[in-house]
Amino acid sequence: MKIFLITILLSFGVMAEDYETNYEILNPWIREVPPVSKMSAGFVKIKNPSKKDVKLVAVNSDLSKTVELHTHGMVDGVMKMRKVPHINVPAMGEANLKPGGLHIMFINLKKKTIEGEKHNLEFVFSDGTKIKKEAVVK
Amino acid sequence: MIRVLLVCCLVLFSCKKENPYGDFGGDFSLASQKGKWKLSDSNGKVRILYFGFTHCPDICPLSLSKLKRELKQLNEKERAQIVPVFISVDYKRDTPDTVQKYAEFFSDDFVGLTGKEDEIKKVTKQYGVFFALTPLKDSEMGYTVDHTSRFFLINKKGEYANSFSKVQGNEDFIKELRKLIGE
Repeated sequence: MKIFLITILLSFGVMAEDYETNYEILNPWIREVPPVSKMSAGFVKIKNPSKKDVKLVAVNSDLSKTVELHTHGMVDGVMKMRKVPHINVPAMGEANLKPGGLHIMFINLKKKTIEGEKHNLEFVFSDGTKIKKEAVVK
Repeated sequence: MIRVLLVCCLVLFSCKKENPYGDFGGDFSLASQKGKWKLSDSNGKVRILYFGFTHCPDICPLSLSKLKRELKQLNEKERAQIVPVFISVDYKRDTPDTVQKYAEFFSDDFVGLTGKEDEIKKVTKQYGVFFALTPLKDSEMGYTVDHTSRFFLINKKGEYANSFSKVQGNEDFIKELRKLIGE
């Protein structure tokens, strides 16, 4: 009976921890670009309610041949884009991927981006968590 | 002596009427889908120039869609006096056909231009536009293009009139356009 109770309690403990590391993927969207364009960008807000920092290390999608993580920066009126190895999502905090800054970079689009259409994205985190979410084109 | 002074005054007075920006900007010729496109050939209209590249995933489409949105504030007659021009500085990857298709996605009357390396370097120098083809290490993109993000307004005579980094919700931008249309 004791062992049974301990097992039950441990299970709850694991469940509670799992719940705490559930990252929230909020409003993911993809920029509609001219059909002739080979590139597009995706944006999303990621919340990390856990007590540990985590990194977004990849995004998988069949929208393009390659998906990378990039950032933009305006330096003296000049827009510069660079690849980043990962995006930090701080503990009890969030990462905001938005126009003009951090973004998901879709390289060599396999499909046209059409307003209102949805594409499946898989967000991969440094702790091995994978979350699938639909992103709308707008 | 008085004569000399009078001549000097006349010279100064006539200088005042000239473009205060002097040689900044000016005429140029680049490749369009339909052949050579020369700025002065569209004199009589107000031109809006924006420099970018079609592999630009965010800033260029964002800027052009904002421009399209802001131009909706103009009435039909005013809008017909405007020629928006998108110039790709990515002379290695972009063709006049690609740039035109890219530009007209935003509006049918958007003009898309590009050119050879020397032509692009010349026009960007004229307008004080910075651009650099920058290798992106470990990226499938190969290289990106760092570029000035700015809208240049050209008056009906083909002279540089003003420039704006932000057009969305910028009343001064529409005010300036209306002023140039009325000139």
